[in-house]
Amino acid sequence: MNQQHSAPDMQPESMQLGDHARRQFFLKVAGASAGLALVPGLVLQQVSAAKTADQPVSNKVRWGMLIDTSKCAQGCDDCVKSCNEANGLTSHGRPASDAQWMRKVTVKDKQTGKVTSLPMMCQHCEHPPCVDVCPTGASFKRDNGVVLVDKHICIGCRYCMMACPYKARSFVHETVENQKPHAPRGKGTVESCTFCVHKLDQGEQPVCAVGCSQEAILFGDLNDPESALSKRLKEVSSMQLRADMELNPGVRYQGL
Amino acid sequence: MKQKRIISLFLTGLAMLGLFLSNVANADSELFSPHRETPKAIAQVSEVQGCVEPTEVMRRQHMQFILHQRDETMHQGIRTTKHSLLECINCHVTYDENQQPVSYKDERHFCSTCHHYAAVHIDCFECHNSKPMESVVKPIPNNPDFISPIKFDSAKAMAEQTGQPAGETQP
Repeated sequence: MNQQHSAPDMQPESMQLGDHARRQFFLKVAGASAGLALVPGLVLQQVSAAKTADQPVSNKVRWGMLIDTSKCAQGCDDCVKSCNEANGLTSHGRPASDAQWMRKVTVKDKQTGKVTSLPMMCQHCEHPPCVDVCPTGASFKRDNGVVLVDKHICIGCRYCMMACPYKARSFVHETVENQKPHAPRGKGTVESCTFCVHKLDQGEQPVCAVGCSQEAILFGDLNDPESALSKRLKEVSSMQLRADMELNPGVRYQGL
Repeated sequence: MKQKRIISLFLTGLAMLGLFLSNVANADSELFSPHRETPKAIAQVSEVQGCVEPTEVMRRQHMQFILHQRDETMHQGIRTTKHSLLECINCHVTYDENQQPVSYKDERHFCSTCHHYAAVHIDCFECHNSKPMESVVKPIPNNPDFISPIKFDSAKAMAEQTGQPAGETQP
């Protein structure tokens, strides 16, 4: 719920580096010049920052987001619009069944009457329930913490939609045409926010973080103590939605 | 003398038979092959720049390459362009009469020409866009790599398939 709560949350994440990651890290360090390896901090940063097209993602990085709800303007849906635009989510005029990766939610504290507006999407949990229930392995978590649907093997059973406590996933009910080249979408599969994974792979930020006119979304690497996100999280009090479920979402909210 | 004559006649006969047979064979291959002009890779490809693998390899194994790349990209975020479906689509572009790239639903589409003929149904384009990225298809002036769209006369192609001359219809 607050800073003290967040600190122990983050601790196990940075400690949980598997053998694979350690091996990769040492390989990379060995590959880099010996001079650099003498400065561990510097090397760490470089490993987490740079990824060329032929390199696999590493669990040195964990992508996350901080959403400042005090900045998030009521009635503004810039993030949702930019998401729909960038990922080719077109409406069929049936809001009940149209796919949505991101939505605006308005919550009201009944006792004080305070109204808060916030964007809601896949929270990219460390322990995603959607992955647990998937019968085919289509729902999976990348090493860098991004939770995705492999639509090649998704059978459209929608168990993951039931399992997600954030209602973050959508089922594609209708035939899709003219998809964006980087965001393939098709009838009969489940989909959700991808953290704009095609952009992440190229070292860019998700479109919602860029498109927010209020600058309420801060995106970054939770594992890198020097990232702007980690620094901000250290300063301000933030919370995870349904922290009681201990899913450790990568998306955190400030001012809720 | 007489024997020589008979032999020469026999040889001539053989040669003629051979010619006749070869003609029949040619006619057969024309009749039974799709004999449609296979769409050529247009954008970004010139005479000297070929496909990412030799044609024979691609014909037999393109699906393995794409499958391998698919899993690497999806799970590991490896986005090299050599065997990516996106690059296939960006390169093998066929244009229609209005100089617009055709989708896989059109028989002229690079993938569809062969898959239609071989009766192979592929699911790639249920999700992936079968048209190239807009930035790729724009004809670039003074670019020698950009070849003008292939002329395709559907009536003529139909006629070739059915053996009827173009423009005539069966009564």
